[in-house]
Amino acid sequence: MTELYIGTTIFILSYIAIVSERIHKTIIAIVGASAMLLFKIMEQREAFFSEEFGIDYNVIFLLIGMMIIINIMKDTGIFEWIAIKSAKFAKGEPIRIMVTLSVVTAFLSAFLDNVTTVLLIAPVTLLICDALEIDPVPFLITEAIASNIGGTATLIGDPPNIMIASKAKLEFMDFIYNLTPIIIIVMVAYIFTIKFMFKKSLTVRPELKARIMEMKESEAITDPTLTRKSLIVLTLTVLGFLFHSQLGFEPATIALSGAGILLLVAGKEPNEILEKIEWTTLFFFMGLFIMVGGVVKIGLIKILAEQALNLTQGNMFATSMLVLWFSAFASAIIDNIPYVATMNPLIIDMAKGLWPNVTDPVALVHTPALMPVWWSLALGACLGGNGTLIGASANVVVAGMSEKAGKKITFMQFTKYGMPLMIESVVICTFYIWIRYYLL
Amino acid sequence: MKAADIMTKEFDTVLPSSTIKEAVSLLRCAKRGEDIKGVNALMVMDESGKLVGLITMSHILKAIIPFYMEMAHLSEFAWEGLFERMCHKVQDRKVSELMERKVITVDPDANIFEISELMLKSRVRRLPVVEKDKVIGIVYRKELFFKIVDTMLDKEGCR
Repeated sequence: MTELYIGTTIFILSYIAIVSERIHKTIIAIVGASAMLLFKIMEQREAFFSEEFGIDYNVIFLLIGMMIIINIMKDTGIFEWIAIKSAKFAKGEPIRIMVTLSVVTAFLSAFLDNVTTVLLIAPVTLLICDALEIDPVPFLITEAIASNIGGTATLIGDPPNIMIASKAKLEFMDFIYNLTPIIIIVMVAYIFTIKFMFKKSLTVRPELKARIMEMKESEAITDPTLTRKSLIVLTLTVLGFLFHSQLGFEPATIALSGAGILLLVAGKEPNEILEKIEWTTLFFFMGLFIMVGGVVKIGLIKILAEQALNLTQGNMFATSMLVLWFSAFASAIIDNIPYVATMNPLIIDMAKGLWPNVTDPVALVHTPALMPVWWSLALGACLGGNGTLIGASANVVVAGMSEKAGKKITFMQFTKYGMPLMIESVVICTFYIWIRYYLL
Repeated sequence: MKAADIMTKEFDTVLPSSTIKEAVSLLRCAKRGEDIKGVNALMVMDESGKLVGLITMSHILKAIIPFYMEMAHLSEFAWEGLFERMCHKVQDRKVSELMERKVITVDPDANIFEISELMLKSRVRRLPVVEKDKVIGIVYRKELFFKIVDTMLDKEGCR
């Protein structure tokens, strides 16, 4: 019993510390994880090697692999090329540029980390807005939101999906079948909404459009050979993801192999590439996994799962809706990574309560009635990030860049656009979950 | 040979509240020793004469480049008129916004090796000489090099 209290205290204190943002979240995660070990809530062996309670290396290595690939690719200039090409495709017309850049950002985010995507697209956006002499803020906000929407579409698009896929034993194609269609619908609705929101305020003189049309996008490519090599490796990696189950490989194997091949052919110093891996994020994950593992082991999560079951009375439609909407608002306020790390075992414990006769762990997480709950979690946790400025890292990054450009994006200014757009997307998802999984 | 022997005692300074335009005008026409030659950097001192920063040509050059261009290597996409616009934008900014706040200084009794080492290590070309919180001069890398020239060539001059 004391273990339950100590473990719960460590967990709650860490959560409060993470939300308060006084100390860096990675430091808290490492301190919290070591506290779990020091107080013998869990053994080191469990923390490092147990699939049930320990660090989820599927997530860690999938992230490492993708980070290496993107770190090599981002200096080639290919993303700047794509962004400038899009602006020219839009004929320098502001609203069309906003739409094309949002679509491009969403598409890239489906395969790359959201923060990386906005870090690549936002500088070009500032260039284009400067050339057109218009306010970049609406462009930056719509891109951040687009990256969060696009990231939801695939297994590798956003960390919550990677985590859900690992715990629920889901494949890349499961996400393509279940999430990609709805994300396309959400994206179409999003495009219409932003067109409506910003159409009137965005007009420019024709001579300024000429500045865009005169840009030679080919000059953005700094290293044509490496660009070609990395595009080939990225294509192979994406193909690898699409067929990973047929090939009999986990997604992390595909990502790591892609990274290995690209490191081999890129001919760069490994130091140069590996030091740019976001180790801070990875250590945050590792610490978090150990902390969550601790509270799963002591039964806290099981108690919470029982409470949730009492609330929904085992009605799976109600559970899906609760998970979808609760996740959306929770993710708008707190980091969706610790949230999903906690929700994953909670859903598994809930499944254990609902179907005590299913002993096979894979069969349990794949119980047909449970599937919509996983999709609701993914949609809620990823799309919820759009609700406020602090809901997703991509939002914080564009706000930082905007401030540097002399245009501060306030919390309220972001929320004014983000919250309605988030609610719109979650309403669409509500209908999707209801029609696809409960009506048909 | 000490810093006090090598330093230039006449110099102009700029206020942190001055505009970049004022700083640029001073840079072009500032005193360097007895002559007016223009300088590459100015010490920033507040009203009480306290050294609060250093502003160099590089700081102003950097401010002219839009930050997003530097961030993503987009400089090649600049358009006609951007340079003039950036200059006009930067000219009204305050010196305090662009200056380096952590100024490396030397004591008047620092020897030539200490000064050289400090200049090389911190990659600066000039070091204010500070005695009891007051700037009494400035040592230029060039002056330091002239000491080497004098010693090696025995004042024979250019042939």
